[in-house]
Amino acid sequence: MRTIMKRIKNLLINISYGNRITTVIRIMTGFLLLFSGLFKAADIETFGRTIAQYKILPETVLVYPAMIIPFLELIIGSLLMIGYKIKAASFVSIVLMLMFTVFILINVIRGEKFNCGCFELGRLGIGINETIGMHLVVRDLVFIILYWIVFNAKKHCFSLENYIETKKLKEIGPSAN
Amino acid sequence: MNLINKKIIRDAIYIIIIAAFLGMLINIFHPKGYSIVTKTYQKSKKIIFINLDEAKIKFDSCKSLFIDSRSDGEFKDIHIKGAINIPSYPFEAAEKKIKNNFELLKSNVELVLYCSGSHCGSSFDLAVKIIEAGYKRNIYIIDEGIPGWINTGYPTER
Repeated sequence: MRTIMKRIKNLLINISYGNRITTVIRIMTGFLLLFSGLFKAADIETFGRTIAQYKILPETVLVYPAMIIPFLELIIGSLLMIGYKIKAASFVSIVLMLMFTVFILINVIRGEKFNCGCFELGRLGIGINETIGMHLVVRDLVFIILYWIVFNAKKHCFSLENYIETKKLKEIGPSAN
Repeated sequence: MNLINKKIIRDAIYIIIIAAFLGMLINIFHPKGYSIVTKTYQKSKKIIFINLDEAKIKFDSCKSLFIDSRSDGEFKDIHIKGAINIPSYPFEAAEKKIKNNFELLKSNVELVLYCSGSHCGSSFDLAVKIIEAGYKRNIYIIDEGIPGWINTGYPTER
């Protein structure tokens, strides 16, 4: 039992520092953002209508998040996938997710029922219920934890950042000798 | 341990700025994008230009209030029969007169405005002022103005 606990502890420490699991989390969450951003960007008007359903922002300013959020998701999703500016991208993802979670929670309290327009998973053929509810709040909290893991990691395998750093170290190597 | 440092904040701001710029740029050419228009343009969608024949139909229906937006002197010289005068300029005086006559303006009549011609602009300015005062329905402007009305021989008074 103690051995199992020790292994789990080591695994968590490794994930927290950054191992292949962290890389999988980064690429998967990045892909999800890229995917949802792509569909939102393809139909800005529909996404604007989705935001309007939340009844939190005044109608006059709805146009701005409708125009910006899809491209923000596209950029941070791409950055996470290729592994460049990972800390900033995951930080923006956390802020974005926190915002979505608060918006959903407010509408859950209000008793509203509509499609959240979150990840557009239905378009992938994945039949996930995206109607406003507590399950979406929990799901978003899980995503926040996943982005936090990526944000907190010190090492990122298969990333552009890692490649640049390794290259720099190689360049410094011979001159240091 | 300082998890969020200045570099992360700066990079995050750059990402947001790039996304905002990209979003607004692509939105311009996007077939399903938003169009950002000025408030004056929005108001102008309620302002409809009509020709003399359409104006005459409204005149004969007796359900329209004709408003002359020219100066007091020009109005006294000649105006469309039954029209009232609300000069567009100075703006302060126009706003005051609109406010004083607002009950009449929002009564169950259509507003038909005119000035010295199709490019005089004062009737358009007056229409914007009336909408700003809270008028909700469409406002009509006679494109040819009073010269066209006189030339056609439609009823006028002095």
